[in-house]
Amino acid sequence: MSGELIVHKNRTNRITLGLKYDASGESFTAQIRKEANQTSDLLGTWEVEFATDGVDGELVLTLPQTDVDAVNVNYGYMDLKRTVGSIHLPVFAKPLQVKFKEVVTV
Amino acid sequence: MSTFFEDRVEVKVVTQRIEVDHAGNVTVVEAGPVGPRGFSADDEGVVPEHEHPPPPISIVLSGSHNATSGDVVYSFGRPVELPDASECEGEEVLIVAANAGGPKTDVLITPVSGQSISINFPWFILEDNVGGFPNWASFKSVEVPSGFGGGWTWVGTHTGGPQFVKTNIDAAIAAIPTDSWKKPNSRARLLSQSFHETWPIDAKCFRFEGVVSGGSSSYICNAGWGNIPDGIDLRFDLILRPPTDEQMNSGTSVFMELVTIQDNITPMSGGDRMEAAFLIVTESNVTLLREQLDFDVSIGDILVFWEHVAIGKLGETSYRGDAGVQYHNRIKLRFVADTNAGEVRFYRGVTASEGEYEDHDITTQGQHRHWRLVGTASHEDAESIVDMAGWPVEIGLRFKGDLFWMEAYHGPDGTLIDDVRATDANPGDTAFISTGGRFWERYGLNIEVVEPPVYVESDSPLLLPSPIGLPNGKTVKVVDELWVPGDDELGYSLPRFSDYDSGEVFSQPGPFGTYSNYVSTLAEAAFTAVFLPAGDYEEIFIYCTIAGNVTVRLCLDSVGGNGLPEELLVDAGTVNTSGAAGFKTALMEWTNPVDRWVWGRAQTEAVVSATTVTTLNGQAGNQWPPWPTLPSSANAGRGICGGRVVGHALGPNKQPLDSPTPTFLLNSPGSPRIWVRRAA
Repeated sequence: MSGELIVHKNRTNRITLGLKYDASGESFTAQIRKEANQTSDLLGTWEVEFATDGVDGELVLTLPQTDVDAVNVNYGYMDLKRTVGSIHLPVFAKPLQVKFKEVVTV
Repeated sequence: MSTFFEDRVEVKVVTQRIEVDHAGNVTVVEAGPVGPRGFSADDEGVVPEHEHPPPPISIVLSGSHNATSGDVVYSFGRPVELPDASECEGEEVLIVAANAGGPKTDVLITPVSGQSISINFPWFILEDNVGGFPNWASFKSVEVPSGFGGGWTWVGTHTGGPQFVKTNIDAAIAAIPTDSWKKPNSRARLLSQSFHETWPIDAKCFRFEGVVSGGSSSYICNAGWGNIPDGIDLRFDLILRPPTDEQMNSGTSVFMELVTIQDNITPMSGGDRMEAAFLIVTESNVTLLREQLDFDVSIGDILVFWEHVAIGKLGETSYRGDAGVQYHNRIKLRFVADTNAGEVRFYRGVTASEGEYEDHDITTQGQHRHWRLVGTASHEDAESIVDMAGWPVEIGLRFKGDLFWMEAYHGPDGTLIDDVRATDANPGDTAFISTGGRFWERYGLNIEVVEPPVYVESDSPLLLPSPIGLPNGKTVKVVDELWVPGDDELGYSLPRFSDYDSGEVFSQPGPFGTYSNYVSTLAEAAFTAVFLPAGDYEEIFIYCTIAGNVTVRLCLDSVGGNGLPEELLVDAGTVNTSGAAGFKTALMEWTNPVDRWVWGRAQTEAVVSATTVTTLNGQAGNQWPPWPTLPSSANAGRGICGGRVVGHALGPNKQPLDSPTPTFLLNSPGSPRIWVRRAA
């Protein structure tokens, strides 16, 4: 258990995210930026979809390798934007630190 | 974990999962068993050097951030990248943005009225500091927010605490090679611009104020710290005052570079000037400091020194130095003695009010004093620490051997040095040293006697300006010199003189002795004589303290057989005080071909009015006179520096010079001062 998310460079990263509510009527976006603000460099954009139908609150976040390959820093921040109708709501109490890690195999 | 079966490794893929509770708290958990070694979710991995997590939101910088070296540490207006952010995590860091052209609001950078930032400059590590006197510390530049503050000058606060004297060194700057600051081991760095900063108002040490001008004024911070041991990190806490709205929009990008920390400042009359410097407690000095301070210190503490006495730690709201607070002064004595030196006992003069004391009655100078034994040392001891809290302090010495000498240095200005030298001392012999003031603490540098002593005798008596306390024109003979070394690179000499007739050895003030002006009974100006061994000197600093609108030429002259300045060895050029009190510094490289005494000279030239062209030596015109072959009263005013002027400098007819007459604000002896740095 940790307070940071590991994202492997040169790989497609996929994680599951569990929300403890029925999220079926909502949409989500998630970005990774260099610093915990909207104006800092964008490092990657997660593709967010329901694991099933969202009723169970389960999301799958996928970070394309193409996004990760361009990352040249070791750390960033991400959060999740929850859109209900036209309202954007936070999900995380605070941005989650992302740690980019190198891989070995080409 | 992986399980090895002979040549088979079983692994399971690791999957991370984010759990978000109803409050939005996020937890990253492993969705499966640990994966291959090195890719465990618990594995911290290897963070490349110098890469650190970005600082958390709204990191607030306090005074303890340690940035790595670099020409620019912070660039305000854009996200602050703290090279050692890991050291700042958890600390409050407030960064004030002042980029007129950029966003005023940032998650990390938020201009906040009334708040200030504190920056710690850790990079003037005195790598090649030799632990001698004095030592220089150069500050590196820092980029200050555009429009930050309004500018600055060094000013004295007149709060009774340290002050700094603004010095216009434009002329001195011109005399310094333009790239001198880039030279290895170069100490003189030039301030080129200015910024606005203030010290914490509760710090009684010093305060700078000023307004960003974006101009090219250069200033030297006259902070003094003279005995920085090798390898000591000298850190300077800088508090920047947030700019006003007008200043925010000035758009001027400025930076500040403190030139040096110089140790030399002598108190002005009235005691409104003093020295302050800072020393960070490091692993290399913490032991020594703990021995010598009467308050606890820890590695990382920044000590504030006032007149070479540690008065507290940076950030304390009060500092020692208040009336009634005694400094814990220590002197560290290192003496040389022959094998028969035996034991030396150190006594402190005590008064009856101090309670019990060893009723050791030493008769000195016809007075009976009670003395408390405070320490002993023997010839086997390399050094002995004598703990002398409070001042003035007297030390009585009792010899128990043949040869011993010890010196006590008083104060940063060296107004009084007593030396005790006893040859063929017999058991029971005593000697007496009266400091009359605070001891001058020398962290890391012991008062070390040259071993063996160097005796220099001239064939003919030297007519020298008399040291303080002796009549002018006293004929003295140089008997020896004491080279106070700093790892043989930086040091200075103490001349010792004896009465030519009686042979009585005079106590010499020093380390930069002051002598009455031999040319005038009124202008008690002074030279500084030092003994310079032959060799290459990388840096020779000559400076003096002068007030008044005068032009000063800084020179180094050899001492002739008649005790007079002889050959002009080094002409550092002229500087003009422009009416501001301060000191002038010349920096030059020089090769001294022979061992010899040299005079440091700050030759003044009176400011002349449009109708008066009389110079100090009577020559017409605004000319620098040649060095005279013989002294005379006609040369009154020549070499005025140090000491204290009584009356005015005299013209050729002992008449006051036409106005404006330079007023020499002279301090206690030691000016001009010379110290040198020998070439490696």
